[in-house]
Amino acid sequence: MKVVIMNKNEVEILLVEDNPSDEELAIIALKNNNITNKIQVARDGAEALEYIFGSVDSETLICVGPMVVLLDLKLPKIDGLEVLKKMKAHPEAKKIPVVVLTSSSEERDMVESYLLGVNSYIRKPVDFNQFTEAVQQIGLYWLLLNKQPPHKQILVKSNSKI
Amino acid sequence: MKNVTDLKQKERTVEEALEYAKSIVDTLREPLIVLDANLKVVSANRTFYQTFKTKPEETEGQLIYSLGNQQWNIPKLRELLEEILPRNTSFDNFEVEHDFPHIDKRTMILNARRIPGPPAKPRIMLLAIEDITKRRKAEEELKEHRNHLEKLVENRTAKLYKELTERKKSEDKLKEAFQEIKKREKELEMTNEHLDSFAYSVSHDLRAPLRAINGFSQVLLNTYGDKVDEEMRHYLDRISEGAKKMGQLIDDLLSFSRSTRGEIKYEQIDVENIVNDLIKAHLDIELDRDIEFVVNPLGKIEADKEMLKVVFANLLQNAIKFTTNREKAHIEIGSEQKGDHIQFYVKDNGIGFDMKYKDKLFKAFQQLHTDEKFTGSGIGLATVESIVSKHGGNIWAEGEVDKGATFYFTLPSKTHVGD
Repeated sequence: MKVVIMNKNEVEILLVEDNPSDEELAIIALKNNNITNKIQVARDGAEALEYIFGSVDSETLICVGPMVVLLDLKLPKIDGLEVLKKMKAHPEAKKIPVVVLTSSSEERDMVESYLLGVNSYIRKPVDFNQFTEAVQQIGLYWLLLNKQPPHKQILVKSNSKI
Repeated sequence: MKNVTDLKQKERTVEEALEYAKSIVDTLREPLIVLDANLKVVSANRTFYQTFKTKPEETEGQLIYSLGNQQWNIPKLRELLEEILPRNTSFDNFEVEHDFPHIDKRTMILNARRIPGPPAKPRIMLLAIEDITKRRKAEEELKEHRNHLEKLVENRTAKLYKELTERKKSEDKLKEAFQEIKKREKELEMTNEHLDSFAYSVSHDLRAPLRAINGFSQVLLNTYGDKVDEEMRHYLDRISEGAKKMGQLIDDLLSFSRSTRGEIKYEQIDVENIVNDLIKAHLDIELDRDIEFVVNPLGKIEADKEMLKVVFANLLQNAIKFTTNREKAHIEIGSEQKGDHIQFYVKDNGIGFDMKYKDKLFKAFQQLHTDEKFTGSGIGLATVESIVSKHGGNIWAEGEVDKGATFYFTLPSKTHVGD
């Protein structure tokens, strides 16, 4: 499976996932549902923040996309809740819909995510067919049905890292 | 003549004085004797005779020591009368204790005085005997009483002190026990924390490989469907089925562990709402089956909503599962007030069970049915049992092979909302 790295503004789905199998299965599920939107993968929380803000400590949004972030919670370096917190605290980044897609069904994770302003919380089912269905719903809703407010014009650094 | 008259007059005066002195002496309540220089009794007063049980004729003219079978032959008295008195004119307050053979033991205070007179006249002396036996006895009794009282107080104080010491000891022990409990509590808290993080990683890390196993066997099937023969398909199905089952097992285990360690959050619950929601969810899945649900009034109760949901979900799932063979499944849910508890029941017309296994029903990982379509994780009823007993209730079941089963559980109708 090849993930094409592309211009940030064309990216429509940011998949934050550290497990290669889950990453691959997610991409298969997306393709199976004919979701051909451009996908960018970040393998930990730091990579996700670097993608959105340029660096972990930056407060400046550097991407217009994606249309949706699929965020795992248990991640190396910086965990998913922290990524979510930073995004939802930012006046521009908080407009980007974030769907937590995680193994955890712990109530505290769910409650914490919603308190931080997550848009959806989905537990990854073990059954691949169910997972494919869930991904289909996500794609249908966030990429097709959902309307997003316009983003402010953002200066895109052409030499950005990713 | 005048001299005679004077003399007579003087004599009368002396007689009067003597009489006067005699009546004073007789009136005295203390025994009194008058002795001459040879220590012979000149006279004694009434009290003396009464006290020492003797008579004047036996006494007067006798040597004091020989009185009453020599009962007055007291060494101390002799010393006083023969040695001290000749040198002094008097002695006061000499205490003498003596055992009088016919009278008893007496304690006396002796006072003696030489009565001055003209040198020519025989000297006489007055011996006053104060019997202080009774006083002494009273004093001694008082002393004894006081000693007794002192001893009593001492004993009481000692006992009190001992009690106090013992109480302090038990207080110390209690304190120690309390500290031990605190320590245990802390250990338990830590264990719980460990368990918590363990459960967290189980829920997260153990499921990820299962997704890979299930997911990629599905992908294999989907991608190479046309090249996969029946046998290969069968094996791939088994692989993904196994992974799915293990996923369910992990979920059930987590639910069980949550039910045993989680704190109860009491709230007012409409039980019928919970049951009806669960039934609706089940009906959505079991579309091909004919199941008749009868929900009798279930009322409201104070309990943990999420936990109670788990209880009914498990019992309903079981009822649905074990009626699979029935053409028409009948599942009835109801409740009844029993004293200060509400008793709920879930009754089905399924395959039932043998009552001799009734105690194994609620044990974790125990399965009564070997038929594959009835097997579960073996944790469902253990979870239910744990939740019910955590709420202070009981659970049991009645059944007969092939004649259905009824699960009963009770919950206290009044709990701790607002505590």
